Amino acid sequence: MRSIMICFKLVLSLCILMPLSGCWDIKDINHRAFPIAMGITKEGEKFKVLLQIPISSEGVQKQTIVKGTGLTILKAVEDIRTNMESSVDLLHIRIIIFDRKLVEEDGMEEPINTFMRIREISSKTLIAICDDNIDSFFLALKKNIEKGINIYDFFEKYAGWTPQISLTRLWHVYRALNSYTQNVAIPMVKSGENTAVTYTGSAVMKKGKLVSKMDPKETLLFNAFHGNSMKGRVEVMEHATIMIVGNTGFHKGELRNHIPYMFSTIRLNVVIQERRGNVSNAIIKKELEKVLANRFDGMLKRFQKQESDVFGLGQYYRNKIPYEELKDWRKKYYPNLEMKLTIHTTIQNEGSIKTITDK
Amino acid sequence: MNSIIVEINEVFKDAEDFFIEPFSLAGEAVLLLGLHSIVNLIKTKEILKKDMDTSEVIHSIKVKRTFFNRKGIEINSEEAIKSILQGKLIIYSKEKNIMLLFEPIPIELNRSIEPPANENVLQGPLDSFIEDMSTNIGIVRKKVSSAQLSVKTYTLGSDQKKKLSIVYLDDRADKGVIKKIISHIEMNQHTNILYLQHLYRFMGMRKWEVIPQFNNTEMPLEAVDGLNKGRVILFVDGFPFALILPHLLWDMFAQANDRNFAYPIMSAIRFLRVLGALVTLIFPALYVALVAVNPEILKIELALSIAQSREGIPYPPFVEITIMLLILELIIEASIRLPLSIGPTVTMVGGIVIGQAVVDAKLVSNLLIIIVAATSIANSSVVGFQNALILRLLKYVVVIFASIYGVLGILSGLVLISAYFASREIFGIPYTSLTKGRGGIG
Repeated sequence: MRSIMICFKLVLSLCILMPLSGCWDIKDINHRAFPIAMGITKEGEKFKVLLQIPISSEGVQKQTIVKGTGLTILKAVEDIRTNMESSVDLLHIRIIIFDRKLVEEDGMEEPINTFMRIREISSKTLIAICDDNIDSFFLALKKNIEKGINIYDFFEKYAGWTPQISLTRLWHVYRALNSYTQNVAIPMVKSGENTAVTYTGSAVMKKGKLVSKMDPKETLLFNAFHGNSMKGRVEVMEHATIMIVGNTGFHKGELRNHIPYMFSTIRLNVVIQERRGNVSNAIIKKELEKVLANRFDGMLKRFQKQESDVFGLGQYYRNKIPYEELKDWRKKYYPNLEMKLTIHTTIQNEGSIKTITDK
Repeated sequence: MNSIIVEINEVFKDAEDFFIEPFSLAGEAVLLLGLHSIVNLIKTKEILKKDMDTSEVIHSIKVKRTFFNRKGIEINSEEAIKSILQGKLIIYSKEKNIMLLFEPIPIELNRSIEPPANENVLQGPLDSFIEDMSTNIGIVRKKVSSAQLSVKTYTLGSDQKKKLSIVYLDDRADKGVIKKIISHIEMNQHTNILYLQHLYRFMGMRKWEVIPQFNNTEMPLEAVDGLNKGRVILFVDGFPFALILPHLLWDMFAQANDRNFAYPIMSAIRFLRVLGALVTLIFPALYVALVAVNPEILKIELALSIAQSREGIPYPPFVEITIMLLILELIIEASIRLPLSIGPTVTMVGGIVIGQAVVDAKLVSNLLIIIVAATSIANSSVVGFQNALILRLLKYVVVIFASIYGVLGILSGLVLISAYFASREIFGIPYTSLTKGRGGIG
């Protein structure tokens, strides 16, 4: 009797297990298509979505580009899904590329909100802007990928990333859209002549719209300000080429008479790699500091005019400005911000040779 | 003929190896009763004769008396039958109508002490237990020269008698555990113990229990280590191993012989075993989960190469892995059964031929073969065959959960297994306990 009861319970629990699990609609990995890059543009009223999908086949890597259109982004994706032989998962998308035209005209808010809402796309997905015709960009990508180059490698820290490239994730953009005190810089790319991608600088955004641009050199400083590693960067100056091997940044904000003051220190460890003529370390140091400080000031002035707080300086004042006034940060406080930037350089190494002029 | 002899004869009427042999002992006619199959009659007769002859030289009449006087254990027919079955020789004196018990020379039915057959020792003592219980106890005695060593022997079974010994160190063993074991033995004195399952049952273990209560070991070193940790050893006559009790989870990963190596090496070896157990439980399930349910957690490069290796395979991963795991189980079972000369052939056919062919035929993916191979190797890294068996069984639980709930299922499977392990108690000692130190069990 007891064993019958146990059997009964077992069968019952197995029956419950099945409907609860949702395991009837799982699809094996070889029946799924994994798009790795998504391009978004607008054709008239309709969104146009391009997906770059690697095809697994014997031996060689192949890629296809599929396109779909629809009134919404998901409608366009659905359009692709219907016509694909395997199920399309957006789970593996590594990079989303927006058409510059779309960003300038309509802004990114709507698509970004959609991506955050559907939760199918990882919030770590990279966001980039295409400075080019997106169709031809993807076509060029396809050609290059067949040579074994993937676009996301361009942004990977272990692969093609250099400190001049800003790295922006989906959640960064979403945060910038909803934050009073922070904006975001999005890398801009176009198809290159010799390489798959050419980096043209970073777009400075305000409320999902493109308002200004940073060139690669400025982006380097932007990255340094945020403490991103700049290792390996070679800076060419009038008298020397140096390599930055380490950087740290300290920032402190103060509010006096409703005017925000920012005290920033960026410490750089550099290695001198090339020297032209007899210049002392002190001159090189001074020159480097001057170049960087000027560059930073110019950048900040420009952004202040555009009211785009791409450095996120407002973050340092969140506890100093009352919350209800915080939403006026960009309009009221940010344009008046006074920046005191100090750059400290430590020459860590002079290469393997020592010059007499140092003494 | 005497009624007693008739009675005994009646009992053994179907036993052809039973003998009643007339013999003269110091001039007196006697009958020798016993079993040919376990008594070496010729040698025993020689001894009896010799015993008489040497004495006869001195004074024969006295000896005639003394022989019957010195071993004057008179027994009745019932005891006689029991003694005959145990391999004793009965000397029956017609004149006096008494039966005497004599310890004959037995026919050598035991093998000598050899290196362990089922467990491998690396740079450790190479002796192992044999079927004969008293030899086994002797081996333990020799290794533990301590007056604290207690040996208690019981004869169990109603119709088929079997000897069972409990060996423990008086000052270290847990009194509660010993008391419980002895009470179980005394309660079940009439249970026949033919197999270990009977022993499990009468020690109060549930029928569907996966965890064995005993740690079966062939190696005296392990048994002695158990004794020193305060555990109890059971020897059952006819079983060539010691049953160390209680058996705890950590025994799956630790072997006494590990202590013959340096401490860091010992730790590394044990860490490997833990890793092996985890790999056995997780790897097949992870394959199912990643390929079928949660491919999103794979890196895109890996996802693509897995998708490529699964191109054209008709089965879902769960079926695929079940097929391969079952084939592997069959290979293991077959190679255990088969004689050593055919074993390697099966391994080769199973491993290389089937493994290669099944991939070429696109029935399973390349990756799966790697997973299955890794699993079976990892499975064997734990100590003790019975422990490897537990893992072999439990991995299917995790695979089933993984096929339904994916990565989450692996976690729930492992939690379930942990909960099951944690819920078990063996003679009041938790299965997962790790007590250390003198008098400790773990």
